[in-house]
Amino acid sequence: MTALLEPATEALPVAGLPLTAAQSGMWFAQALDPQSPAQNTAECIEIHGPVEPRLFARALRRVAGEADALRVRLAETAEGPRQLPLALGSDDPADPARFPFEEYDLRGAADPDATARARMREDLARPFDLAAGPLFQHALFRVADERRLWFQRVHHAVMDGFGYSLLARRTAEVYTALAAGDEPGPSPFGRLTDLVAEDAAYRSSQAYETDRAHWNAAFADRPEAVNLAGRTALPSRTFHRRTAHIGAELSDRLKELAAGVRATWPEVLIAAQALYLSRATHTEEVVLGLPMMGRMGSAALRIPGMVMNVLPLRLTVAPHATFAELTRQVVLGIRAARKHQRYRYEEIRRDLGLLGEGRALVGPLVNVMPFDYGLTFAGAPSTAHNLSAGPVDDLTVNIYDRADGSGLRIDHDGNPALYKEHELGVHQRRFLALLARIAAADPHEPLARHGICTGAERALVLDEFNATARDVPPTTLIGPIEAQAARTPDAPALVFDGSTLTYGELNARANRLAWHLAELGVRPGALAAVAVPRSLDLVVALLAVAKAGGAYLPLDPDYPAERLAHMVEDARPAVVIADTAARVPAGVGVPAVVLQGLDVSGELPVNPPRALTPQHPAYVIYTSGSTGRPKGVVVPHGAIDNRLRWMQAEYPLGPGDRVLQKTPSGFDVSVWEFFWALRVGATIVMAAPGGHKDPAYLARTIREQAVTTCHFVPSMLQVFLAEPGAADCTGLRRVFCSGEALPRETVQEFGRTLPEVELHNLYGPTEAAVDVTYHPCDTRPAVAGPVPIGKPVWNTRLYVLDAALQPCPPGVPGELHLAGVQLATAYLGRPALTASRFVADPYGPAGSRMYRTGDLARWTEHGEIEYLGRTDHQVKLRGLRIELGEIETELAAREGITGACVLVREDRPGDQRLVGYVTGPHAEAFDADAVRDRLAQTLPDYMVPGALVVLDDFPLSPNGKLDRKALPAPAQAATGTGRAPRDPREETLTRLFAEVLGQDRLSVGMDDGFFDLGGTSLLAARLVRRIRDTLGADLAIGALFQAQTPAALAAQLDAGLGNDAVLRTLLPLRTAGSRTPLFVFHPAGGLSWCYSGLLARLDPDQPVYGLQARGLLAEADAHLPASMAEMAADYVRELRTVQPHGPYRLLGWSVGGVVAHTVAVLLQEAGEEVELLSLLDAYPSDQWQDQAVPAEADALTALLRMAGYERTDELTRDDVLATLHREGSALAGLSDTTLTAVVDIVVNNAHLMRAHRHRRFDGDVLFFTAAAPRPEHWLTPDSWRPYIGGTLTEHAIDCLHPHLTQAPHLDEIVDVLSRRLKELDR
Amino acid sequence: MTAGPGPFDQPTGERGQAPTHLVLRNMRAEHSLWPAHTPGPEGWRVTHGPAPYEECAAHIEGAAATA
Amino acid sequence: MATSTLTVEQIRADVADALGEDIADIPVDENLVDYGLDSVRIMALLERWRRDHGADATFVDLAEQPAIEAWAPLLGVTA
Repeated sequence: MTALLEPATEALPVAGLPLTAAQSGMWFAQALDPQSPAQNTAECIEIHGPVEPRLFARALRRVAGEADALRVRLAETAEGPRQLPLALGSDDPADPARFPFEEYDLRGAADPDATARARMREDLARPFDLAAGPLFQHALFRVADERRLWFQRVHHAVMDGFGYSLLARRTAEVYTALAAGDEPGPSPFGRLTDLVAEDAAYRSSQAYETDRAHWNAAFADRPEAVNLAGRTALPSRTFHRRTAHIGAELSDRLKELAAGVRATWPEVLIAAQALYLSRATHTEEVVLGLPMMGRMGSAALRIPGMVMNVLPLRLTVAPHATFAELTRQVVLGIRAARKHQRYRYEEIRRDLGLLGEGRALVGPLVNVMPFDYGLTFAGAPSTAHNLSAGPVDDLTVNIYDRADGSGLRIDHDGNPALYKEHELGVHQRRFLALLARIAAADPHEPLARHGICTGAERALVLDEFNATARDVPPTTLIGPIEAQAARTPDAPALVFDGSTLTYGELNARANRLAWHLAELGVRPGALAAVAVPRSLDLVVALLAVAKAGGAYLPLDPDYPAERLAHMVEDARPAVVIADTAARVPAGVGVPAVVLQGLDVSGELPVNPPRALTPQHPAYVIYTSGSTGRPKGVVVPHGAIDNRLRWMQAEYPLGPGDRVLQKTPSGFDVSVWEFFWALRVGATIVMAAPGGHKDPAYLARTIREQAVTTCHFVPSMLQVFLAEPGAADCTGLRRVFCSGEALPRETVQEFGRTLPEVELHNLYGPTEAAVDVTYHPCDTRPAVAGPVPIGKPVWNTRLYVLDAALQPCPPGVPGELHLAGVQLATAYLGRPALTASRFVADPYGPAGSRMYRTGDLARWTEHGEIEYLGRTDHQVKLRGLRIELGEIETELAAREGITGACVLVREDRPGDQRLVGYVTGPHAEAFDADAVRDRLAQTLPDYMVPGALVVLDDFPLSPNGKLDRKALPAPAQAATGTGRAPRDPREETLTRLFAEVLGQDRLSVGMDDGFFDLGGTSLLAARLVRRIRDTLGADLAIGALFQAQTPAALAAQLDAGLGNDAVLRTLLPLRTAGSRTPLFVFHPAGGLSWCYSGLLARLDPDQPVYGLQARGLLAEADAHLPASMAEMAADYVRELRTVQPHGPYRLLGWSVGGVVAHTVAVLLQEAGEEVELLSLLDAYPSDQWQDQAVPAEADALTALLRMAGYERTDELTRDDVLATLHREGSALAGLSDTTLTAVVDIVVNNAHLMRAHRHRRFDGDVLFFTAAAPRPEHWLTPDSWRPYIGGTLTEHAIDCLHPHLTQAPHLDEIVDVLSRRLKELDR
Repeated sequence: MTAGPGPFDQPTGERGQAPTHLVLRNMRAEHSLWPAHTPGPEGWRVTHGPAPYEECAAHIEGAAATA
Repeated sequence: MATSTLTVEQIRADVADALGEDIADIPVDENLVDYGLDSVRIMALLERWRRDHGADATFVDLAEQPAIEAWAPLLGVTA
């Protein structure tokens, strides 16, 4: 046997050749992960007949010798990566570089085919060493006497699919010839050098530039290329494959169909895949990737090598187009692409800047391979099986025509990082079912007739998931309530502000009003507007309207008057019911019923008759309208009755339950808060107006009122859970959430805070009687993933539909549509709008309707819905529904504004706010506040953008549309202009603003508005909590909305007395609380600020007032008192303005103790009781009489001591100020005038002290001694004995005198003090 | 997801003038807008169209006015 | 075998049909790839010509120079 050295080794120059662009693509892909076997391609040809292995090996060697591409290795050189000549080894087993051919006889194996396949898979998982080569591997497996499997693996950088077919055909030719003893004939292959040369020629040609320009233009608008997984991933080392076969019959029909529309069957399959992709991703525009062999008219037709390219094909799949039109789009699209097909896929990606970003150029690849080999090996026929077509970045659908009459084979190859194997199977099953339907349908009908569900999936989502039919008796909102009232007239029905109405009382009151309303025209079909804030009267009014048979229209008291007037004009109710005359919207020409002062005692307390049916309207609630006008949703009794009956069945309420009513009546959640409990004998606990925004108030109310059932919008629930008192609300049985998406973290936080309480997630638009889906939340920590909105309620159907109104299978996103008895009747007075949103239901009973929500959603496999977002510009902000279009219309209507756009921005995580962008005005001249004020006249406060940004132009995307993503974040930096804080409270407030807003302290000025700085309701709750903790001031969140700057807030905290309030004689440190106030008296400096530390430590229910020296303020008639008695009498007058009569509680530190004792004596002499006199290291005046009158130096010492510091080396007033500044003391903020006054006061007080003669206080004293060693060692509490009638109880605190009013010593003091106060409270 | 006009929205561009929609009416005299590319569901009769979207909307307004 | 002889006009007609175009728009001297001719259509045409006219050419033959006047001799068209 002659040595089989290949004749063409010298076909490559020693220096090798550069790579073609196609090869470079594969080279770089491999370089990203050198150990990855992903670039292996492999095939298995099953030979049915005898094979002579030695001859076969010779044939393989011969072909390798003819195909230059197989005799290279690829390596990095100084000139970049090149293909270098590689000599193939011999057959000698000892040759380390032997020819890569293995032979196996597996006939002894239990399952030879399985074993062979396993070996092939193993080999396929081995990466090639590109630099070493060879870059191919052959194997021949004998699996039966007359059946062998010829396996070949080749690196994709040197060979593509067409190249394989050339090699396979030649191998069969050569083997057949050798087997017949013939000479195989000359090599039919061209040279690799020609391939390289052709590529180089293209790259330097004009055509290259033309092609580049074409692709850049075609993708100038950077379309998003959706894929079935909905996300991208890095390429994996392996892929999952699912294989299916299209039978001969279906294949033939598809071929006929193709011929009928002047297309080929691959084009039909591409069109079908585009249709599938479009419907599976809820997108009209898709981009497919089409691998192209790229050899037409080229020398490459005869050269085995790597040439193929992938071209992007953009298609629009519209429901109104026909399949024939879609296919024509495919045909023409491919035709256009082919003209520029030599420009490479990698280059297009690079030109468009898509490399490395995870942004894809194409979605799935559709790889149609119409060749089969039909090869015979010395007469033995063969079948080809592809094992790997190369790397799979996302999903590739490979389609082979086996050309043996058995139809088509389809492989769905997927990136394991994106698709599980069974998911590929699901996509494949659906695709095949779709093909069958397409083949059976008329291609000239609209695509809308096709959906992508399999038959089983369709039955699942339409029928099985919607089996909610339930017989419900035909009652109304009011009937069951009247029945309950008759059953339990004495049970508590409604609690508000300390008052309770029984069922009997409530029913009677409502009845009286109802008879009155009936006389005024409230009857079935008529509306009654209700403008009543939360109160007993609100419930009475709502019930009365229902009893008269009418529907109520809630008018939220917080809405601007203009908006309410529009609503009334639009709805034309029979009456407007209001609590006071002032609340009746002006000028609407509708009779008003003012409850204040209304006398209906003459009316009957019995249930009025009414011809009310379930079809009559029960309520009309207005929602935001996208074109600028809010619209009224009319909900009939049958709808809301179904909802309430379902709720009672699902979450049984009983007489012991107490439902919190806190949602404003203008939001439909309030409907069940009002009406559910009253049907079953439970009790409504009504929150105070505004209370729904205050988490501390809610926690307190829930605890104190034993609330078992309540609702939260998810963002408010988050705020509530952060409230310290929330964890104590263990009396709750169930909490409902609805109104916005419920984050998993909130559910977990709920589980941590209230582990025994049920949490339920509900969903539904106003257009469908409050809620249509429900999901019980698993609040355990291990549960993850999005929180579903759940399953449908009774007599309700949910449809997730694609753009053609076809049902989407589980997991596929579509628009959520609702059907069933809970649908609203209509939008009041808007027939066209009603007809466009409440449309015919194709899947329900004949003539039934469905409502399209505009929400994007998908079914889970278990029959629950997951919410995915909106399809339009409606948003939910803290549960409140807003049409951005309505705000934009209002903005654009303002003078000088040429364009408007409104967004919800979340620049800080969890912190959402409305931002408006306008064009037209000049930025400097733009008065944002004025515009916002104007908006507030027609829009509710939550719809007024927190910030307005002026732009020269709106940013546009490459396709000319407004690019919302490019709108800039509004500048948040506070200016810090405006004056600086003047006193400790103001200083503290600016500090807290900055802390809560996450900004630098110095950047917050006294006049900077909280919301202007970026504050939101959520952050407002946090600020209020911080103010309470720090200043002890109990502020309702609502106060922040009215007083938005630190300056205004400080004024609020001082009960609106003005900024000088902190220097007034009566200093209200804490006004809130129900206990007897504690009066605290100033030490030597005259200020009572030192007592602010008490606030955080004492019970929040304990009010505290400070008495301060007159003379701090430059008041006209102020003079320093001439005696302690005069001072004390002045203070008695002040404190009696707060508390006219005893018993009194008094406390004083240092000089303040002496003052307190004097005041106590005066009060007793006036006949009042003093139940507490507490002295903090204060000693009677006779202890001081022998001491010299202090000079200024001593006054300064006093000043320092007042601030809590011992004087060290400060000599002058300035020194003292410097110390105060350095220590961050609020006292440093005192004006010069005030400081002078303080010094004067100190000196004066020293005089008064020495001159004073104490009288006797007839009571006990609670004394705290500063027990650390000090120079004035003679001071002892015993010196009070002559002046005290009762017991002196002493507590020694181990510290110096100045430190008594500070932590930690103050803690000890307040401990004892609190206990004493508690005893007194009893 | 790119949300182009849905089956019940007014089509953009030139298609806005094309006869893309129908008006349906059921036994309860309720109206529904409907895309012309899909047959109307059972229990609904076509009372107008195929016609452009705006014309259909106007027809519904008119029908309501005379109801 | 009853086959008819292939003519240039027949080739033109068949190509036009495969491309969904008018026969008048199909040139005999230009690269048909520019008119949308792809490998699948060539194979389908080859199938037909083999079956109906006993043509004896390979895919590679036709793909190398996809113009009707280049094909004619390969398909046995007598001038």
